[in-house]
Amino acid sequence: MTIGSVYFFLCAIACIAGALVTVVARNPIRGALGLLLTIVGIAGMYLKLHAQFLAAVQVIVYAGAVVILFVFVLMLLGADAMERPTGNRSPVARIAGGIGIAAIVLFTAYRAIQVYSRATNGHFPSLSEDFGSVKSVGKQLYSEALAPFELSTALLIVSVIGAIAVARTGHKRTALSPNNLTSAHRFFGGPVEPRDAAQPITKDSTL
Amino acid sequence: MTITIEDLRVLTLPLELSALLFLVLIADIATSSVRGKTFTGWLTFWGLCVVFGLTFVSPVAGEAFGGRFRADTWTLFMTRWFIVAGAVVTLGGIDRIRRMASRRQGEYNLLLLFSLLGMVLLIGALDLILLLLCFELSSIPLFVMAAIEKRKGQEFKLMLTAEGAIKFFLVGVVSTPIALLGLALIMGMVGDSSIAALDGATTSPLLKVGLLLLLSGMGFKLGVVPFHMWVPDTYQSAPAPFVAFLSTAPKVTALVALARILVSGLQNRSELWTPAVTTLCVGTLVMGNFWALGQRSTKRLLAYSGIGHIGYFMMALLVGDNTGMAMFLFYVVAYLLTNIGTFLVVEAVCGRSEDESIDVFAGLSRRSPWLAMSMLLFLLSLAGIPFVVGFWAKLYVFIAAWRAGYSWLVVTGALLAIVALYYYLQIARVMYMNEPKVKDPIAVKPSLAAGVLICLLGIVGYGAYPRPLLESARAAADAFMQTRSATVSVSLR
Repeated sequence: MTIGSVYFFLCAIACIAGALVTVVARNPIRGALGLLLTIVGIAGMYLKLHAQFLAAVQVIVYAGAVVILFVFVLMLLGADAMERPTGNRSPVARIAGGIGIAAIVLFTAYRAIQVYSRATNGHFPSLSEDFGSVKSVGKQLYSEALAPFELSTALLIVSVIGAIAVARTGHKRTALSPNNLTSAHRFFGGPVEPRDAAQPITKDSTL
Repeated sequence: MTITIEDLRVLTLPLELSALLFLVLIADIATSSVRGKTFTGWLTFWGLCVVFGLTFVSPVAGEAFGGRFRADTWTLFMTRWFIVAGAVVTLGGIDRIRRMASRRQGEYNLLLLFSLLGMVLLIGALDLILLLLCFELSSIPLFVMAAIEKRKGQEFKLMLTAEGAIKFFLVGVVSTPIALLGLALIMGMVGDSSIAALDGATTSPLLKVGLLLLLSGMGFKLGVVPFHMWVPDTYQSAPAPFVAFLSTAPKVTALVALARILVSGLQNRSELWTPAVTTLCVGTLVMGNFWALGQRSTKRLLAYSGIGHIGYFMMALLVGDNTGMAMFLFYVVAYLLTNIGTFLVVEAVCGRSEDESIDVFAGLSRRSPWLAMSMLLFLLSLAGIPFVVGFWAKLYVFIAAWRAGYSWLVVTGALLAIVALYYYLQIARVMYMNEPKVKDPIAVKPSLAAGVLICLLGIVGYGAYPRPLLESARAAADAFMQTRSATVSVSLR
């Protein structure tokens, strides 16, 4: 067993353990942290595939930004925002469902590998030495892919303007307690701070 | 590859649009009163008129970014019609947006311009990555525009808007990764992201899976059956002038993106995609038109009729050659003018009361005869009755499809056009036969009336004399079908 495969298995175990925690954890914060573990594990696998840039982006964007956003949202919405799962299906049905989906995914992956190795006769083409390095990606980004790169900045501006336009409310809040706010209210009326949960919102309180 | 000033010269039209966008952004930041915010709407409209005028002054042809973007007769044709659609929708919507989203008018106009910028760039894109990014730029602003109205104290209406907007948003963001995965598989099988390289793809199951994923992702955006669930709900809950835009320009954009990949990119490999597109086409034609029969809400009825029209568009794409694309473009123009006009009339009639059931149209001919007549003409154009532009559009698509050997599809389409005639004329019957509940005429704002008038002149004018439009559509289609770099020329038609 080479050091490379030890590294691979460590990353794989981190991914699977993180995914399990995400699904099983009762506490949503713990679930978000499980997701973090999965993301870091995947970043590790990218490193082993010589995709350094992808690994760095994976850590910066997913671990750095997305998970933090999840945690922010969870904390802003507070404990009252979480709905307990009400489904009372038997554990047998749940496990059977899980196994069924896993079987479909595994079968698809197996077929894809089969087809791909038949198309390439089992030989994957070798890549250039600096494929996936920060240098080569950067070079691509500022020469051939400049147009899409610049366009993505416009996409970001649109998202920011759109988020502000949707989140900003001009009207006074109606008398509804945070507990029976619907998802529509949360979407349009902005997040409810946990410290407000005790006091009912009155007609005078404005956003 | 280096980027030179020549590259930017090719991008003149999108850059002009971006300049207008910055002007509107600055105007929005600089003003704080409601009147000032309404000014951004007028700025958008007149700015778009100026950009439209500029398309006749400085046509540029050529390739930029190493062949990833091309400006030619085709981009000029489509840019003009997208700008017309944007300008008419802005003009028709100014009053509604001022009333219902007074503090957010600036954002609304800005997002409309962003969406237009994405569309204008998309039509010239010859690269899968650029194509997808442009498509996203054109569709993300729409999610926000659908949720732009927040009503004071009307809980039920608020919920309805929220429902429609969230459905639209969720379907939009879920379908993008599906299309993206499909594109990734296609790119993986081709080994290159340019459209010209698509022809050399090795036929493999993964390529087919990629195409299927792409079709279903785009199917959600287009609202073809069976991916149509969000369409009626979003149309019903969103402001009608916005629906006038949503039901036309973004659909055309999605169809153009599909056409770029399938019709132009895979033009010699049509056996790969025709079966799937034929299935979607038949399903959309049949179900869209039959579901429209039972609708009592005008907007929902028009939503299903719009779904049915996507079927005719796909029929034109199925032809898959220069003639088919020319007829597709003719249909695009007919559909843009007619549908925008119809929704603007719906706004004029139902906008104040926010009740959009067909009964609101009762006795419209006696209350506002001009409004009733324009609605009748729009409906006839949607149905494809002679001497309005919709007739020629359907006829040309049918002829092209018949010549390409899709006679059974033409018969299906013609039969369903008769079904469509029934529900379109139902509105006409209510307008002309039923007694009005209220006698006084409907007060229509001059801006809205002007928007309706532009569409009306367009459909009647092109209906009486379709030849100039047909010829420019043919020239544009010929330019579209050239994937390889060739001598790019542009004519000023």
